[in-house]
Amino acid sequence: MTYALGFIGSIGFMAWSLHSYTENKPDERAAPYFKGRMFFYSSVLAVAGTVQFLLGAVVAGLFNGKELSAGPVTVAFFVVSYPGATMFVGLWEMINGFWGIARSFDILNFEMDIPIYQLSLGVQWLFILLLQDIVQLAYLPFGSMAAAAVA
Amino acid sequence: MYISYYFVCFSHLVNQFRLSFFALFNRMAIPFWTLGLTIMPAYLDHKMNTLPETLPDGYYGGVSTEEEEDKAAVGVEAPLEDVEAKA
Repeated sequence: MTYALGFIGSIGFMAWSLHSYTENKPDERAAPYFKGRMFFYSSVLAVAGTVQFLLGAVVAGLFNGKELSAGPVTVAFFVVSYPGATMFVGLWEMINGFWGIARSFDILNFEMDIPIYQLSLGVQWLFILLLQDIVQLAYLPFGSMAAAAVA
Repeated sequence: MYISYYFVCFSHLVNQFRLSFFALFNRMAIPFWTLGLTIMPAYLDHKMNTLPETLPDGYYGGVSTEEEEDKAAVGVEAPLEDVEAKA
């Protein structure tokens, strides 16, 4: 659900921004509006990261690293072949999510020349593609769980 | 017997194509599913840090006051210094 919210929200947000502009009300989209939206989407990211981190921790605790011999663990959209990778990506998402919540309240909003938060999110997407999608699915037999590989 | 054999082969081919198609589709869809959750905080953070608390008139080049609407209606552009002063 969190991934769907992020996906649909990213499309709907731009559409409504254009709608606001064409309605000649661009002044509705000032900084306070974006702070409120920032809080919401960062919360969604934090929830996604927390769920993924806890899932990796539970799988690691239950199967004690022996799940690879019995096949991957699938929960909802998540495919866990390597719990450590799931926990790592979840932790990174969780940190970015809570950091974003803090930034929406003007906390941890560092004045730096480089966009440190955006870079952190870019690295997060790289980790998602590598560790959450490619690595977790590479172990699977041919195409068997491809339909569940949305996350 | 031969008909059933061909049917099995055909079903196998269709099944393989279906699996390959969905596998390809999902692999193509993965970046888009995950990109939304990643790019929205980055975009919103940039906007909330760069936009002013209240947008001045004409910030996006739009017509927002009745006087400017009247000028736009008759095709008269606002003086450049007025726009710069408001921005």
